[in-house]
Amino acid sequence: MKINRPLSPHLTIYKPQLTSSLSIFHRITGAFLASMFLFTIFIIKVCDLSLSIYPIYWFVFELQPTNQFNWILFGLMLLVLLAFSYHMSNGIRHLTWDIGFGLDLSKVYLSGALAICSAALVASVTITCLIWFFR
Amino acid sequence: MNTRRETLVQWLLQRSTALILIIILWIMPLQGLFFLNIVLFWHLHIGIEEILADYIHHEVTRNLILMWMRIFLLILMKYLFVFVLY
Repeated sequence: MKINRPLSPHLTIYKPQLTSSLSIFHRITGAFLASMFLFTIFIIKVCDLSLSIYPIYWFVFELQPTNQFNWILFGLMLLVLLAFSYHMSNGIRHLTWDIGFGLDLSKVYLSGALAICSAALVASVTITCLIWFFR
Repeated sequence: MNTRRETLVQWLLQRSTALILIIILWIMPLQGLFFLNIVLFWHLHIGIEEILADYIHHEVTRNLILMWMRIFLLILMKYLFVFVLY
């Protein structure tokens, strides 16, 4: 792959606006989701391969579901859920732009607010269902 | 010309995989698990390539990282397929 791209804009020297922040967070959440996905599979495989080592055995044992509420796992799950719902709703917004719909500035701001609201809605509904069914 | 065409193909692939992912996640959550893995890894790989192309300007370094990333992703794909099948 032979490409020569210009330098990406530095995030700290621009005034944060809704449009730019949403775009930046789309990339950040995408990278976060990708790294979490790959890291989880990698960790599961490593733990599976080396269960005979005591610290890893202890780690896997501690991760098992018990009656006690696991705050770390819950927080991590919540973060992943928020990132996923935001990435999905903003991705739908990007797809509508690629079709050629809603490219005016007012519509862009409106769809950005809509994307944030729908991401919050999806995340809250999913977390409520999860707590309801698995408490 | 060739690089422009390649970029266009990547762009189209990213969008179409995103569309397929949305369709799979909303309509057939469990039946399409085998298909989901391929599309998800494809989307993820194009995204990683895009980020690396934006922030790593040295060509040899970038190509080396992309090569290792491709091998890593293939290994993880194989693990995930084994998890799903058994």
